[in-house]
Amino acid sequence: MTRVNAPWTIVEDICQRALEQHGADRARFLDAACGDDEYLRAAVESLLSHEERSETFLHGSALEVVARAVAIGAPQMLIGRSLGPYVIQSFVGAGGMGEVYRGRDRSLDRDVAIKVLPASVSGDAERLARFRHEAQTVAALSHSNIAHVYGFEDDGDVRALAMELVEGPTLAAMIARGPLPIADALRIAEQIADALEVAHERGIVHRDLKPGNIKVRPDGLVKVLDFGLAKTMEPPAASMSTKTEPGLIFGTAAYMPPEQARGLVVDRRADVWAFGCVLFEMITGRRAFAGDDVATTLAAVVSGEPAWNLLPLQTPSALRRLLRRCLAKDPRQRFPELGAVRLEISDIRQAPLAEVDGDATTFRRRARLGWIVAGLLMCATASLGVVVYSQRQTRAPASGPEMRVELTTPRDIWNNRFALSPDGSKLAYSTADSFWLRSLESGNVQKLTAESAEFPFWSADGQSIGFFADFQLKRFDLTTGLTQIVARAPIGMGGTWNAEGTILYTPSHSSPVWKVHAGRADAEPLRLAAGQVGQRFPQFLPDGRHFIYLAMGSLDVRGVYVGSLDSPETHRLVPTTDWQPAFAAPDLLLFQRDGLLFAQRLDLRTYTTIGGAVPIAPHVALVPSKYNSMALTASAMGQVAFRQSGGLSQLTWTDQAGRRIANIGEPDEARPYSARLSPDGRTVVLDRLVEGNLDVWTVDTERGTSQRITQSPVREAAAVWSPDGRRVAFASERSGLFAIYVKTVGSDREELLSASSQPQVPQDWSADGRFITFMRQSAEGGNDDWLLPLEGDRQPFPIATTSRGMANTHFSPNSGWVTYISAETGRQEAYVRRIGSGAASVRVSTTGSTWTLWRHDGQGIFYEASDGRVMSVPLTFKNNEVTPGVPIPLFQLGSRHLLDVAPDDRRFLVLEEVEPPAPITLILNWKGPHR
Amino acid sequence: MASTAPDVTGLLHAWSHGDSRAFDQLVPLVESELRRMAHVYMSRERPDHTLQTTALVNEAYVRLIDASRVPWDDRAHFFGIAARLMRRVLVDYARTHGAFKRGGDVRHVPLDDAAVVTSAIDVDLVALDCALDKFASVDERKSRVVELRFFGGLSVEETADALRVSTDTIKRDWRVAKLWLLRELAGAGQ
Repeated sequence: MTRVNAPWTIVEDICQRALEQHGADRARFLDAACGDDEYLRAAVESLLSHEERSETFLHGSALEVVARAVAIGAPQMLIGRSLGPYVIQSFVGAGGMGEVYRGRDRSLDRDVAIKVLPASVSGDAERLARFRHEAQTVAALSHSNIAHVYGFEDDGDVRALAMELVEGPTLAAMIARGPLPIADALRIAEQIADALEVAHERGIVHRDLKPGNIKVRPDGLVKVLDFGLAKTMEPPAASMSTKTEPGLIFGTAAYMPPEQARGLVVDRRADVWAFGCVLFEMITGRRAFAGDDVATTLAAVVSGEPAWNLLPLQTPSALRRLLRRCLAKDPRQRFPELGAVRLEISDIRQAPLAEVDGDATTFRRRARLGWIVAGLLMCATASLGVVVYSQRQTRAPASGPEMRVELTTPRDIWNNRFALSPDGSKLAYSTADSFWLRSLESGNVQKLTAESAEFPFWSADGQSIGFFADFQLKRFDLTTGLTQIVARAPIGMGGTWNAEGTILYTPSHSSPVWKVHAGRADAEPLRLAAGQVGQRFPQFLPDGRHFIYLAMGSLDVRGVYVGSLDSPETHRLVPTTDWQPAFAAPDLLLFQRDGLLFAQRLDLRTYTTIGGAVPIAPHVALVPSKYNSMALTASAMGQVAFRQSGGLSQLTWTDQAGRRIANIGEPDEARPYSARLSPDGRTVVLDRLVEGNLDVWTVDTERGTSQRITQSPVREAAAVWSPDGRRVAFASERSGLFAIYVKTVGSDREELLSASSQPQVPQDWSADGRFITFMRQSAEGGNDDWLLPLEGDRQPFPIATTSRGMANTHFSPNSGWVTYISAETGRQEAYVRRIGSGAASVRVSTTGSTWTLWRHDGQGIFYEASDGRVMSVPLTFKNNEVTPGVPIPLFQLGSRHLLDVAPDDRRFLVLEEVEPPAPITLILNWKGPHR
Repeated sequence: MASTAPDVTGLLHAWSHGDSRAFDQLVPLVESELRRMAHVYMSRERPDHTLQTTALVNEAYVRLIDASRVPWDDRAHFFGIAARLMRRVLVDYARTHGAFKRGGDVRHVPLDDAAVVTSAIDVDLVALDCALDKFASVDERKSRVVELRFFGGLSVEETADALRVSTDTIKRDWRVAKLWLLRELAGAGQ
């Protein structure tokens, strides 16, 4: 270490002035400024040596750095911990392969890199075993260009790989500064080829070679990292991949050969491809195959060509040939192994300079001609590409390679709000406040309108999109950019649009499918078949006359039906399913069963199903969504897009400052719509979606154990406790629409409490046991809360007449008052009202509210404000009148949801999102389940 | 009944006047903002997009601190306190439970982003905090520049405002402070 003891002000002054100078000027300046004071010189130079790194150092704020770390799953802080012979010293970084630390081998007194496995691998016995085996194989490799693997450490808690610590930048960092001189690139490439060749001889394929996995030491020695480990990082599903069933794509898209992008088995020629990509990138500074996201990158890999014109003019023709042979799409046209590549590179490196440079003038002239020709060729290939693409789109739907890609669209796309265009080239989707269009070819995203579009569907010509918003069925025309109202639809539940301009849609929950012509206002209902209480999610079949839909009704009636514009006759295709179906060209009916996505062939002459139903992919659970809809869409060309997981959430106890006190149970995907604490605060009753089945469950808050309370295969939810904590009232869809049932917990006794032609969902049960409040959704789309007396005639009556609806009504502890949410002012606010009095309701929230609860002492309410803060408002009662105090903010919920408050009024039941919903998976060129 | 929790601005004032309980109330607020931002990152299409992240941090400030309530002549002092708060909370966060309890499974992060991710969390906040303390004893003002800019998220102009020096001075301070800290961090690992 340098000893530094010059005064800081002098060191700083010289350093500042030196920073203004470069190269030899700086050296001369330092000579003059420091004279023969070696300490001063060292002090200044030790600062200047970090100049390059300082450009990116502390870029962005600390909040951003930590937030981002949290977002990607921050490192487990293991610093200071012992692991076998190693002590973990500092955190280096994190990536797809887990976290990397710097450690010290105490016995050999050397620094090592320690790669801690992510939980997905270390927690899976099978993958762990594969990883361990692979690590042993790689540990046997000894080559100067391969970062040595010392061994696998497992202390029962932490599983990690100890590896050679390589100093120096990654090749990715070097390329980020610009293209490398060809001579340097070749020197590095030769060493990479050498490393790969030796590994291949031992049967080890790298499978994830990329500039980020290659380091160049300060002395010029190249080290390739992470040999063979990519394979073991794959989820188990991918290991089942065969020629007939596509595997999941795993690896770095930009360096993945076409055969891997197609989910086929890969061999050492995958490394030849990746090597070509790396070499191209070193020379040009650009990726050989790039896209805005994984989908477009894979498209480039499979069907695009690298931008060959980026190669510098002086690139030797032998090197150009070599790159083309490494990057041949067909593995059989590629170099079969790296030995040949290495020899080729060695030859190019030794070629006399004259041959490389040629005669400057003639070369340049030739090159310019070449440019023009190349430009023309590019145009030709580009338009050819379009022609080929559109032909594929119209004539041979599944002629391309089958691929599964995850779309990195915003995670807050609502599950019932995305739709593939008929040609499968675009995805229309809606977030909470806007409607968007994404091109799957270019990755470009365009905002269509500033409103949230429910259940979007495309016109057959792909020029318009129908959707539901503001109680209306609307259409958006891509050519004009205008939105028009088509028909009234208070509670829209799906639509479809044929080539003649006929739209079928469902305007409300207990309605048949309606028919309207896109250009006219002549909407008319089709017919409900016997026993059906509603028809939802119509979708035209290829003839544009027949259509499928989901019928609601009792268990023996509900299911997927096929109907026709030309005949009133309908028949059932899939019995007893509760969820939205879809049709994927050419002939597949898709539907959900037990939470999995199934496909069954449909005979388009007889409109009957053929053969058995097959799960599209094992273990692919779909997210069911609003009103029995699915997060699923299919194009007329057979592409399918769906969302697999709604994300993980965790029930927690949270204190008044918003700190988590304890978790209740484990995080799971069964995100509840409602959860209520029992009167003693020990048990939560909530709804959980398990294997596609929405039911009421209880969870013990202390032990975390859960138990299913309702058993019916239909949707059952929104349970509330009786005051004695022995019974629950809940909503069940067993007759087709939600009705209120009551059940004694721990027994089979169940009783229908209230049903009508409109859905009813319980909200609360008064402490005196005399009333249940419930929300009633009218066919016109409004909802109002009603009181259901449990004594006497049991005739329900509305709590208040509101023009903008009300919801979330909860009783005060003395049963004399209610608090509820209403949009009377145009914005949702919390109100308090005396039951049975004609007096007006009193608004208690000031800046909007989405959820409200009584304090158990009756002297105030808690509410969730529109900005996500939990507020507490004291209430003063006098002569049957209430005066609210000033709302006091308690804490910010952020992405959490307030559910209930404990009897002590100090602990809140809060749902925390611990993992966001999965991205949307798109299956391109789907070959169907049978091929 | 309910403990009264005033807003961040009020709490910061209380803390700056020696009320240590105010700090305890501030911690969860910052942490919840942190989680919210993390959530936004997860839902953004391009988490590495600079413009977006800058906007995010500014938004976080607007949400956390109601600057309109801070007297104009008190702003410098106030931003100093806010930056100190962020430093304490974030360093503590990194030191204690740095982990988001997901076991580092980054399944949903496109693998291409791994390089970006690595550089973003390359800063060891705990070590930086320690180095910054040392730097304060060498050059107090420059350590405050780092605190305000990196932990407080202030721009060059705002930092200059807060410390009542020119923007050129801040720029010069910032570049040499980074060199000093990098050297310290590199040396500390030996």
